[in-house]
Amino acid sequence: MPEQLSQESEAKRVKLEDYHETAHSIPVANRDINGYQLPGHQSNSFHTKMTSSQVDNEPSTFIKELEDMDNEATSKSEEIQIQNWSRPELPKFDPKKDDIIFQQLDAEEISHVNGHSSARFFGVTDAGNTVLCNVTGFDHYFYVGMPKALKESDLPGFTNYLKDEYVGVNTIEISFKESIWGYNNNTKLPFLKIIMSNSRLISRVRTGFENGSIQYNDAFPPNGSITFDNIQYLLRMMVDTKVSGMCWIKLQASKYTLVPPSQQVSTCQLELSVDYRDLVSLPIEGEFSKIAPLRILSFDIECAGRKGIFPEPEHDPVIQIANVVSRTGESTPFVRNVFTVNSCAPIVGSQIFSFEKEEELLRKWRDFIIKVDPDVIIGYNIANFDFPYLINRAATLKVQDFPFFSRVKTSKQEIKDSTFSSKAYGTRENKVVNIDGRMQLDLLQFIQREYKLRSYTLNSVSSHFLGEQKEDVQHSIITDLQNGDAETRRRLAVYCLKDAYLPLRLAEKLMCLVNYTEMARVTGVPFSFLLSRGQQIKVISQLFRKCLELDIVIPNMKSDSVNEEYEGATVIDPVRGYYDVPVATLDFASLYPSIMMAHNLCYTTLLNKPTIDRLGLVKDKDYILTPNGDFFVKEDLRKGILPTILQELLAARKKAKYDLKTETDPFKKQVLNGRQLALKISANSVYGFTGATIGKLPCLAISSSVTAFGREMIEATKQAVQERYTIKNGYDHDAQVIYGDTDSVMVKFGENDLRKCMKLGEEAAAFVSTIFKNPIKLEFEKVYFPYLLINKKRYAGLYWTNPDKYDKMDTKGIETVRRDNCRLVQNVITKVLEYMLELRDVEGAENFVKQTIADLLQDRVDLSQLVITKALSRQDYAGKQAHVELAERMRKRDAGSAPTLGDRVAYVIIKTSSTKNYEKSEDPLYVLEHSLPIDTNYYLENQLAKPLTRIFEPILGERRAKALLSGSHTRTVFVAAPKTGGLMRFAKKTNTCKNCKSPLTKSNCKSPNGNAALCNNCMDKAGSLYGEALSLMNSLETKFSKLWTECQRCQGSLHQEVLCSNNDCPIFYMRTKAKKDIIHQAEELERWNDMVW
Amino acid sequence: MTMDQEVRRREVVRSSDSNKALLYTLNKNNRNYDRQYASIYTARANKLKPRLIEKCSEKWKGEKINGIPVSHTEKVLNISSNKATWCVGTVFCDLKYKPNILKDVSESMYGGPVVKKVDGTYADRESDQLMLEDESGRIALDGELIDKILLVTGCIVGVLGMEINPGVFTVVDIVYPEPGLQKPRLLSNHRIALVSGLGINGDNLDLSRLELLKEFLTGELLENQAQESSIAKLIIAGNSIKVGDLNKIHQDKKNKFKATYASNYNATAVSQLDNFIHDVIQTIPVDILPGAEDPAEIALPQQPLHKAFFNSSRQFVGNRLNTKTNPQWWDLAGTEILGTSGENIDDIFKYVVPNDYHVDEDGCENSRIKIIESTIRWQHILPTAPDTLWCYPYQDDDPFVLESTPHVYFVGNQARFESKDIILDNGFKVKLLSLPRFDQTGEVVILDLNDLSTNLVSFSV
Repeated sequence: MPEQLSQESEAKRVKLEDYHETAHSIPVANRDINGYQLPGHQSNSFHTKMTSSQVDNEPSTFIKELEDMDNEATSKSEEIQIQNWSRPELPKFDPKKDDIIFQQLDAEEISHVNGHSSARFFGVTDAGNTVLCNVTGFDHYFYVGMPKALKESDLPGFTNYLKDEYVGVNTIEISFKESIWGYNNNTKLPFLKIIMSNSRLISRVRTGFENGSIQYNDAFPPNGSITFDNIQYLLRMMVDTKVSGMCWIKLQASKYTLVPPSQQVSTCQLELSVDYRDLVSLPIEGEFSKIAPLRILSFDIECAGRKGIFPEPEHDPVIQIANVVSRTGESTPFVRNVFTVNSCAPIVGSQIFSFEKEEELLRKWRDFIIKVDPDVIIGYNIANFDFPYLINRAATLKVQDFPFFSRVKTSKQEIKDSTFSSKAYGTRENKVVNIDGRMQLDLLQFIQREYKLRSYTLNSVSSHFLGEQKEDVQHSIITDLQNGDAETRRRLAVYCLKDAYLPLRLAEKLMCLVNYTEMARVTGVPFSFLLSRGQQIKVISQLFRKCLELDIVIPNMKSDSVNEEYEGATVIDPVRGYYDVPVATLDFASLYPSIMMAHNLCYTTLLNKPTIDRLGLVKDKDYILTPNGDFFVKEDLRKGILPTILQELLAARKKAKYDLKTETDPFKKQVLNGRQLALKISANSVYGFTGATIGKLPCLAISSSVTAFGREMIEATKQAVQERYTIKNGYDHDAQVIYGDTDSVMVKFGENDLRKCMKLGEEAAAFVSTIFKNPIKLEFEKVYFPYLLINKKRYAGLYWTNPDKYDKMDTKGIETVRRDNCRLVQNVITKVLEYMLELRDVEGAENFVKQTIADLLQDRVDLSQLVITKALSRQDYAGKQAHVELAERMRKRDAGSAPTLGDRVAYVIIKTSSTKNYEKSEDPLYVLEHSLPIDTNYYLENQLAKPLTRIFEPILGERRAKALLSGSHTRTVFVAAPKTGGLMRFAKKTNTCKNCKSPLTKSNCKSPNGNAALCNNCMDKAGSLYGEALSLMNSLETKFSKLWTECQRCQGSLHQEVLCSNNDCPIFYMRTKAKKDIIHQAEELERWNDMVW
Repeated sequence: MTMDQEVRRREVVRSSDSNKALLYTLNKNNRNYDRQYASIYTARANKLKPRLIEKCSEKWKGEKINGIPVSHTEKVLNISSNKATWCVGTVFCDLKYKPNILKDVSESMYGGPVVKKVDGTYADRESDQLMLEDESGRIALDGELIDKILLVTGCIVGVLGMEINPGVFTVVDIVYPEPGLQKPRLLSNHRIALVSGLGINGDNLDLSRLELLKEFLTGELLENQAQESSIAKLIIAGNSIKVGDLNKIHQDKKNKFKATYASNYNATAVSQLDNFIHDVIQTIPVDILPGAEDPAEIALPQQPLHKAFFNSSRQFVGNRLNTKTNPQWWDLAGTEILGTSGENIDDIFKYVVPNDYHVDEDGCENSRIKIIESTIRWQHILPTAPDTLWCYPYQDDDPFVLESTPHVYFVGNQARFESKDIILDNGFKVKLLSLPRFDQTGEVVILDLNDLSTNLVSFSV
């Protein structure tokens, strides 16, 4: 039964891994409880516990048990205890007989000694062995249109001329190609293919052609010729060999050569060379949709900074590096360790490597990286912080051998600045560290790219995606912990390990690796481009691939960065209001791609008047005129290249979605889902590419025509629906289109019944689809009911796809993610929408708003709700800004805890004599400690008023909406009295009677020192008034206890003080407030005890 | 209170037993909420660890595994795997349904999913995890023994076993702290009456059972004349008032946007209680403890019910009417009694009942005597404070550790009357009493201070 046995041990192993995790004490508290595996509790344990007698010690069974345990343990200990780092050994193989198949992960261009460009791929085989594959023999090239004056017989002479003028020119060939730009009756023309030996020399020759300095027998136009196919070497090679990013490559037996050990440059297990013509790229389907067992390292460093200064590598040491390594598809990491300077108490389930000197720590960490050999390195903000810090720190300490942890032995890791601007992501300045052969995925960058969030700190990101808060240690405390003992350093190490583990969990949850892998495969670009480059490169890669098949060349356009504006998508003016009847939404499926396909819009089909005349084309038979006034030939004359690409993408997406339905393996499901997503995004980005005016190949004729068609279609849909669904035509109501935007139209059929409305929606979608050209299709997707239409791009509603239960509440453009709002706004709006839409209780919503405003004015809103955060980025702000001013003031108070550059400054607006908002900002903790009054008016008027009015106006009308903000609930105001500063220094505190508020003196109350709660006249109300005081005390005591015990649980220790300074946590300020309040209330209660009865 | 004062007070308590009655009285005018709860756990460990280590070394000194003697590991994190060892630390239960304010807050903010739970329990069989912790860190506990015995957050124990799976310590034997000293008991011919959960509800005017109780205590029930005559004291152990849920939210009619807090105050109920006491103290003295349902501070130790509530019996306070803290120590004619109003036991109970358990299946719900016994064994009457039971943030002190062992230990407000005599390892005898709720059973317990026998008197109309 060996099979069964192995299965069993496998099962055990999984469980043990889980133990690792629980015992870790990394994710002890507050984590998803489903992650736990527990020792098999007996089901009747409750009963046993309640009835069995206390423990009786019976040594006979006990000794035996221990012995059993001991035996069991020794058999297992090896596999558990030793965290095996090394790669699996390379199996024996024969280059003459065995093929090599590997997944290509990273590619780079290298310059060889003989001056020829070549490239190399780094990859991993299915067995987990690493491969470096040199691709030789591929020369870079570009095209120039062959002038009529140049004859084929001139070619040798011209070649010699060019060779003399420019270094690196190899050969010139004549190819018959066609430019992508404009319809040219499908005629291929001769082009000169200039082949260069080294990619670096290519641009000089290209420029020579473009500025007209290359001349031969006056054949070339004197003011320059257009050159074609400008694309970087690596991508050119990948396009020509049909290798896409992250695809599998096969090297056939005897077609490759092994690099002799003496000449190997890398730490890869297998190093070989192959001619580019022998490279076989395996199609990404079936077996080769898989992903190789990649090793993913996630790490985090801690630095011991000085008080008040953000750590600088020139001064502040790196004291800990935590590492977690896992394999793709496995949920538990197989390596967990922490490198520490100075001793550190052990952490269960993790290894600790302690070093006396920081230099040694750095060196050993480098050795660790080489040994564990990760394929992917992830982390949070590693690109801009951790890597540069480590490298700079090593340079400061003169650890010369540190920056060599890539797969290429001689390649030194260096920091480069890269700026990358993109319309979609804005301008970002990033640091880039070259780590040859290892992919890098900075989760911060990934999340910034893919998600719009209020805040991108690891705290808030993990609470957003993983639903958990994390303990946060302020950098000023880090140094104290480091300077403590092995226990405090252990505490730090646990924290560090947690921060290393979180990115891994985030990556898994967000499936970044899988989704980006599929994106690389679909678009054909190397993985690393996805984070470091913009959107365009993905379309370019696809375009070049398609063009190669069709013998089309792409002109090298100078981007003139003319900011030509063209009319965007249309919006049917919203009929604002609150709709208490179902509103059906008709959507155009993949609108822009379908328009391009339906009307054959492409560079290759673009016509102009002269061409039309020259070729004698007939409108509507041979070509169309778009609503924008551009001409494109019809499909039967020439099928556009963009429509072809789009068709393929959408067909592939259809297939992926189909496969997704039938696939059962969860990991493969993820892959397929990632693929269909990538395909969808790719299809949609094609339109954007044609409209990107500072792009590679902008063509406003295409993009403007697309939007023009779109506008026309939205209008046409409106017309069609409103004409057909009328009482006149036998329907119960006249349908009304209340809003339309880009690719959807909202129709109020007037029908109250959801089912009927859905039926009408489906029918209408089918009907309207018939008036449009294939493949444009209108789909009925959902019904909003009720629906609150506030304005253009601002609406909310319950989203129904099945008539029995709504799917969710859907909101667009309503204050939920805007970061300069405090949380209160977001929460109030969410709650109000819940009341209105889910409960259909407008009055409830009004009352809720009134209560909230009353709470705000009476100082009962938790401070964390009022905190506004802004990043302190540069110090030279032109205008005075609240958060910058505050940071400055905080620095004056205590340089140690003040926010530093790069921190997010959290502040609240308080009441001061000043009227300028930037002078009214204050640190929330300082506010709590000094009981400073909040400027509640600011929050009411500058934060809440606008969004609330916007929502309520369509429902209540202007007058009642206004009343919300100024009704009777706003009359009672409570302002915290500051305990320090100003007039308070001169004020004398006098107790007043709790009931009648008359000042208490020794004579009018029953207390020896005048510290009573009531005056003599109010004594008969004592019971109920004391009862009231008690109820407040009890709510505070409960709150106080709940809050501080929660923090203990979150930090995972009862015996250690809570240090956490995570001010993103919703209970962070509450904690301090509760403490403050309870002290005050305890004093109040004492006044009752001081009374003589 | 300052640390000095605190220390001094503790010493006073130790040297003179009369001050034990003030053990749970919080310092007037000087409460301090600046310290975190870690301080209590540290103080608790400091008090109990020496008592444990002594006992552990004694019990396990001869044990050998495979010929190798078991050793003592001082810190939890220094436990090395596959080595039989013993260690002392604080138990921590990670339970799914513990009160979680973070979740509550986040949910009300972000509308997260609501966790389904059975009321009155924290436990979930599937996911709960037991751990042992000290200042160095935590290790998970498992083993058959752990499934069998009762352990809750905050008790300090010694465990013998081995770390087989990394981070998981398999326990084979367990030791509780050495019991605190017990004074020799003096015999007395007095008897005292113990009642809990009067549950006077301002809305319910049917006070006939209460009337009967009063008549019984004051000797007006003739047939009991002989019996009642020697009852020396009535102890009311909490929950004398029961405010209906409707009454709980105190609302100000004038200003509906004012803050509202749950209140246990009800004027009618309070005056009914006042009248009851006023009548009883004419005959016998009364000690009254607050309970969770009474108008008193919720955090333990609960401070005495306030004079403001006793309009008619106010003049007797400190004399025939003693308002006491909860918990409370008494020395009644040489018998040391420790009592609580039952919150401690109720809270521990929530650690044990699994979420999917139907409590009435086999009557376990009704027997709490095992838990009451456990708290004596653990030498700590409030282990789950402050984790799930709200408590004052003592600084460098934990007065709930038993520094001495009482003769009688009663717990109020339980489902039914139970009594058990236990003998601790060093021979000390403790009488455990689980007092029923009067409003549900009509039962009062009479304790004879001579032989510590009990008599259950039941009233019904």
